Amino acid sequence: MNKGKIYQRFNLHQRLQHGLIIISFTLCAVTGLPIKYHKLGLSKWTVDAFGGFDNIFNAHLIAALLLIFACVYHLIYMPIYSLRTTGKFPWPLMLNLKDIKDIGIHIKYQLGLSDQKAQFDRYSYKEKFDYIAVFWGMFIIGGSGALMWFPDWAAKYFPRWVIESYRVGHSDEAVLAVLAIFVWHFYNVHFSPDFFPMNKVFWDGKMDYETMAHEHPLELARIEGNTSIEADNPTTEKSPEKEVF
Amino acid sequence: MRKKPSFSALGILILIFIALFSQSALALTNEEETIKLKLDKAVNDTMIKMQDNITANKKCFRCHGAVGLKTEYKGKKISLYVNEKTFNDSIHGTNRCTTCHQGLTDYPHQDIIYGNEFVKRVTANCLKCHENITQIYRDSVHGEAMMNSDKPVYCLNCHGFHDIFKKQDTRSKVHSTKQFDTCTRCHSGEQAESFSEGFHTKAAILGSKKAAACSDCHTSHSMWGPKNVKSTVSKANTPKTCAKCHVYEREKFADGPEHWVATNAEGENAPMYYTFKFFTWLTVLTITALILHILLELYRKLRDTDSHSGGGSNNE
Repeated sequence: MNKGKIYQRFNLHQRLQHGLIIISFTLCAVTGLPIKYHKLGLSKWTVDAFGGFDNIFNAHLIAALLLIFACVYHLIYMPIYSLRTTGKFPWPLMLNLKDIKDIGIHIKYQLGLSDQKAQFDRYSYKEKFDYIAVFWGMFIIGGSGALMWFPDWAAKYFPRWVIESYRVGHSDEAVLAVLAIFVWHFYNVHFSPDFFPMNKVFWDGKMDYETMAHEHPLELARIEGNTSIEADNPTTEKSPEKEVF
Repeated sequence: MRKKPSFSALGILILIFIALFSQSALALTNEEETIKLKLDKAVNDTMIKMQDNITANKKCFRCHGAVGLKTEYKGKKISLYVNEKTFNDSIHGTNRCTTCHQGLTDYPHQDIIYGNEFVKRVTANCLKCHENITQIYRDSVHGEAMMNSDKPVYCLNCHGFHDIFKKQDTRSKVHSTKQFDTCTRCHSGEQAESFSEGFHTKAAILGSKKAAACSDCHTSHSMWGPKNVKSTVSKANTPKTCAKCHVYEREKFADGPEHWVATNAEGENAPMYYTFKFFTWLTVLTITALILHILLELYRKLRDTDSHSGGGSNNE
């Protein structure tokens, strides 16, 4: 049967893009947060570790450039890749009506109000949220970053209060992004009992049949050309406890 | 082949020139010789005088170098201790104590004054040596306060007393990283709070060598309020002041405040206040929703595990 079959979910190219975002985002956070919370002892320690403010600030700018590059590169890459492989625009990445319905189904299931599980396609609404949040973040943080980096250019078009307000958004949105990554994204890919200590798909791009059936049943059904993928209901789910007996 | 001789001729010419000019550069005329001798003597004399001053000051430090030396002055305990090492390192370390503390030549000291009255007298002494800055300072808002206000600002209030260093020295009270502490001793309240928001101030406090500190915009000795037309931070002059670092004199540099606090919704603060509120609530609501979502998932997983293991124990 299909059990034990491995599916290539992400290619090397895509994994490298994710890797670049990991590195640049982390560096942005490490070099940016000490500036936001400049009164903390830890912030001064971090600034000293980088050899002074001007160094840590340059590191922040370089990391920012890498992050912007990764995002712009992806925006160009994704439509081209999608058109070449599927002949279609990358619609599976966009939010749609099914995602909204899935939220309702998922929450009802979790509250125990129903035993019907939300059936996710290639990307669940949780993954799409992370994906789209990156671009919202780039609009707020990257945009304000550009105004701050080139104030004499920015002041040609925008009054001072626009630049200052946007700057407020820069670090506040950054805190939101850091929290979202380290709480929400890390739960989903690291701390969740399903994946602890980590979901290795980011490393080798591979996902096995069981995980596919659990996380992306609709996609699996499409790949296998088979609509009767084993229902992944809690009643039939194999739990380790049950296997003992 | 034809070019070779001309090159060697050029070389000889250059050599002659070097020989001539180095001769005239090395040789001192009589006049220059006397100036040089005078200068050497002056430097030498100054060195001897400085050494004398330090020796003389040692007498003072025999008492005033003792940590915790106190006395009572008009019913108030006052410290008479001066850190000898800091003073000797400071820019005035080679001056005699009595240059500023005039009249204190014998012991027990006669004619003691303390506090503002004394600072006023010492300030008059500052102006004797630092005459170049006197007129500029008298004209500034601080200088005005020094002359005719009940809250006078004397040189010593910013520069310190026995710990005056060059402004490039990190120990200096007017060093770019220390200005915020020094200025906020008087300019507290919203002005001081705004430092937590401003990028210039954050960068300067964290030790940036490029970021603007207070005096870079407000000047060191000729500061006025923004409503004064002479001020470097008036509406009309702000673009020029910003352009000292930011290349172009953009009118819009003046279109909004430099010092603002995100907790104040009034006046020029409003856009930043509402941006701050928006992002605060966006963060609180988003992260709460995400955490709730995580907890819900964990709750269901726990329930499923419980029901399985519960079934297991039943089978047992």
